Amino acid sequence: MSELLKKYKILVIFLTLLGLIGCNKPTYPAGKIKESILKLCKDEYKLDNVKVKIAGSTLGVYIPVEGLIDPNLKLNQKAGEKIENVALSIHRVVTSTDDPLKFYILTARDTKTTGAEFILTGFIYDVIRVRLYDISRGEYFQRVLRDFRFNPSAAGELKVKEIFKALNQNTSIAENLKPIFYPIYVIGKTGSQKIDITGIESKEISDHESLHYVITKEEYEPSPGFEAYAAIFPNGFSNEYLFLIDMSLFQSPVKEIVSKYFYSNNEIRQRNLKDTFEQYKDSGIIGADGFPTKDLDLGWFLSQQLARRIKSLFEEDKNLKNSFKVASSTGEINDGVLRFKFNIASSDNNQAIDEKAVFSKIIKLAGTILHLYRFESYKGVEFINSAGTEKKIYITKEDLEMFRKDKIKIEHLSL
Amino acid sequence: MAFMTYRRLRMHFMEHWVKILVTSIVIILIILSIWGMMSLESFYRNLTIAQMPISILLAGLNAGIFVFMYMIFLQGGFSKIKQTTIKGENVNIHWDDVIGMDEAKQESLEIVQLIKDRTKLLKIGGKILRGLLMVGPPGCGKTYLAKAIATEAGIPFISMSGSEFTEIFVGVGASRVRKLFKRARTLAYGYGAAIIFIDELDAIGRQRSFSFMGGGQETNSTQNQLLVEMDGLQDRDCNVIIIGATNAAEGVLDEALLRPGRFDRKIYIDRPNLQEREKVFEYYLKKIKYDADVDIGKLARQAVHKSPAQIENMIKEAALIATRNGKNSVGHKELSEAMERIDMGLKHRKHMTKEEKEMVAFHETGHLVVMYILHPTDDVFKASIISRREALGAVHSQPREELYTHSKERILADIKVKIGGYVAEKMRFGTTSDGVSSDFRGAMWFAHNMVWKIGMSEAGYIGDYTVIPESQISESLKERLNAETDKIMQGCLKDVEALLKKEWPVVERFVKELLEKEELDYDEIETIFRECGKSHNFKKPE
Repeated sequence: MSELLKKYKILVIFLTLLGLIGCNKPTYPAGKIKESILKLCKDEYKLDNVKVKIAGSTLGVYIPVEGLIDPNLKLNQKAGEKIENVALSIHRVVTSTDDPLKFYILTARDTKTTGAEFILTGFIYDVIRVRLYDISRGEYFQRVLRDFRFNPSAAGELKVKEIFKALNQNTSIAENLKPIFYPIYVIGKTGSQKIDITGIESKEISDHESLHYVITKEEYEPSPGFEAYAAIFPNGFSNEYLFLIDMSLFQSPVKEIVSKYFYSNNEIRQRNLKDTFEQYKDSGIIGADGFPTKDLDLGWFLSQQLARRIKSLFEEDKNLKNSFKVASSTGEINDGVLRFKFNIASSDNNQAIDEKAVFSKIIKLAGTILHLYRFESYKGVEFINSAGTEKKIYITKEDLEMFRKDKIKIEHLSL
Repeated sequence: MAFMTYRRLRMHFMEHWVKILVTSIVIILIILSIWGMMSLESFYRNLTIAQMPISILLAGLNAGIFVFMYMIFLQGGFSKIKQTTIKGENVNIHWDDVIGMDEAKQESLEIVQLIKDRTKLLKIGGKILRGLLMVGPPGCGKTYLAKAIATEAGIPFISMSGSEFTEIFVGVGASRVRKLFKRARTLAYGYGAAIIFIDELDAIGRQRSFSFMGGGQETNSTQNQLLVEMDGLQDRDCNVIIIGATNAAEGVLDEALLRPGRFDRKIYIDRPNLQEREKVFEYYLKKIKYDADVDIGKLARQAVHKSPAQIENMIKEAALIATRNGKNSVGHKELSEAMERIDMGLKHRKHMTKEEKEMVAFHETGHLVVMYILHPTDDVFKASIISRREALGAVHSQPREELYTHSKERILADIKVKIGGYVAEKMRFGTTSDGVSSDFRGAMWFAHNMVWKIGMSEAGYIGDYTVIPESQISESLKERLNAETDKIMQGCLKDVEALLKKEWPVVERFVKELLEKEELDYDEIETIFRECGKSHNFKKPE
């Protein structure tokens, strides 16, 4: 052995040095992820308006883009290049770090079109695998979630700010809303009121509605006869409001404004707006600030990916495309049950859909994808076709695996 | 000193410039690759390192395939030679280790002086030594002496065998000669001088032949190149000495090789004489454990005409026998057995009938008694009725001293010894066996040569009649010569019959001893003869 070492000492030294290089610290160590991405974007792509935030094992990256959408409603080429560059920076950092990150979300929001955003969500292990040629680029593209959408909470937040601006500027639009902003527009001299937003929290209630909890600092001069109110509402007191904005209502998107204080039965009362706000669940992934609202998990990621794959399965395969039409496909995970709701009907309205064929393909796809990700944290999967008479199948994890291995047939599963 | 260091460095560079260049490139590439790796992001760095084993494996495989293809198709490897280059001081064979060739040593010492004092010699206009040819039988220490010259002169020594130059492809041998001399010249540049030792020179130095079929062309071209290179040494003023060794007769080598300016000196290295053999025995016995009673003088006498290599082999064989017999040291018995094994071959017991065995015993005793009593020069060392090789029995004899001529008496004694077996068989059994055939062949060859070639017939015929074409010799002359041959044979037969008749009790005694012991060695033979009151007809050595 020692003879061999002596004989090939140059090779041994070379390999040892290489081994030592491998022991070197990662290029982007944990704790410096944010700085690393910002530096890469700035130095290599001249992008200095990128923002980064890490929530648990999810890396959120936000970039405001001017003109995200073309007039023909497609992703603008320049914006696309920026997104690509930022995505590349993210890939470089997440593959060369010791930070145990699992997901990344890149949000590119249009600064011109209110609330329009492009979201790229990816599983970091997929990035590593595609770089190691362990999965094909085509497969990788199917694994990444791409969403081109309108963010109601961002748009709503903008609307809220517009309202306060209008109030401060005494524009005509605000005139009708003033009584809602109790009490300064009731007890204050006209023109003396000024409201500053000190805090705002937003929640996406639906794909077009948003709820906003706003904390303000209000200044006013009491109108004659209301001086005594200054003891309760001193100048610069803090107030709270709750806004419900519905961006689908283009003319008057402000659906409701609730103030903390209100006058009733000859006394000033107050509501607990924060509690009310907290009672609502945020259905959005991206908050108004452009960052993820929660730490992502593989179950959610796979439910979204599979929903998209189900849709593309029936849209991209020529034979299936001719036989079926897909109206929608959504996915979620609740209490360990993956639920996929889709609307797949026969392309020929007069012909009944072959439900078994549809479910068989979808179940097979789900089984394969969950197996490929080695995802085990679920009890079962429910598949619901809402087209026509709703049809659903619940299949346990074990049965799904059996189905994937062709050990049980669709006939054994009850529709 | 500094100048020599500079020359050596330059020599090393000239000799190894390809290696130095390749090593430098490899080192630079290693540095660059490590530098490059360091600048990679850790993901790609680890990826590259992870792929390294398979990359190295593939690179090795590719290189292997390339080398294989190159060797097979481009013949790049054929002209390559494996030269054994050793620095003089590392040859490690010292002058004192050269034993048993005092005269050759003396001549060689002179050559060493010539190599060392080259500058002095040049100043006084002396002739530079170019080549030295060592001629002699195999195993007499030609290579050994050449190595000792290298050690003594302290210069590099390149050793090659003549057969290493020969190849099926024409031109390869010549190319190897060119490379050999190029290397020697480089070494001479660095070390002041170099020795090229070509063993078995006859493989390339044989007289050139010219055939319209092209046969021998390769040997010719190799030899031509050797001649050119040897001449070139003079032109380039290089202190390269070529030592050739051959056991072929001088006439075998091409005259061009032997002319002055090429192999200037010839040293004949013969087998050692008695004193030299003693030294050789002493030298090799020192390397093993041997009994105090081992008589080196006696061993040397026994080992007449044996080369140092044979003596070395004999001692090694004796050590093996001693080990096999569970002995801690080598005794006379083992040495004797080793010599016998080398001379006579391994014992091979054949199952013979009692009668057959008896006949063999009488046959061998016939040889033994005749040799002991009649032979003027040879002594009996062993008599055996154990079969070896093809022979059913043997009587092993050796001249007591180096004799380079054969007297008439000696030849007649040889014939009588050979006939002895036949006579003994006939006298005892009244019949004879075919065991005499090889004896008769030998006896007849001697008798025939005595008459036909060396003028030893009683009738006074002198001259070598074999030179005369057979068609020119008259039938009557042939008859007369053959009659003389027969006369010699008959004369010898009578003498042997008379002797054995007279010494029949001695014969019977030996037969009895042989049948009992199967083998009798020198001391036992001597004792029996002494007991029977018999002695050699020559003076015993002291």
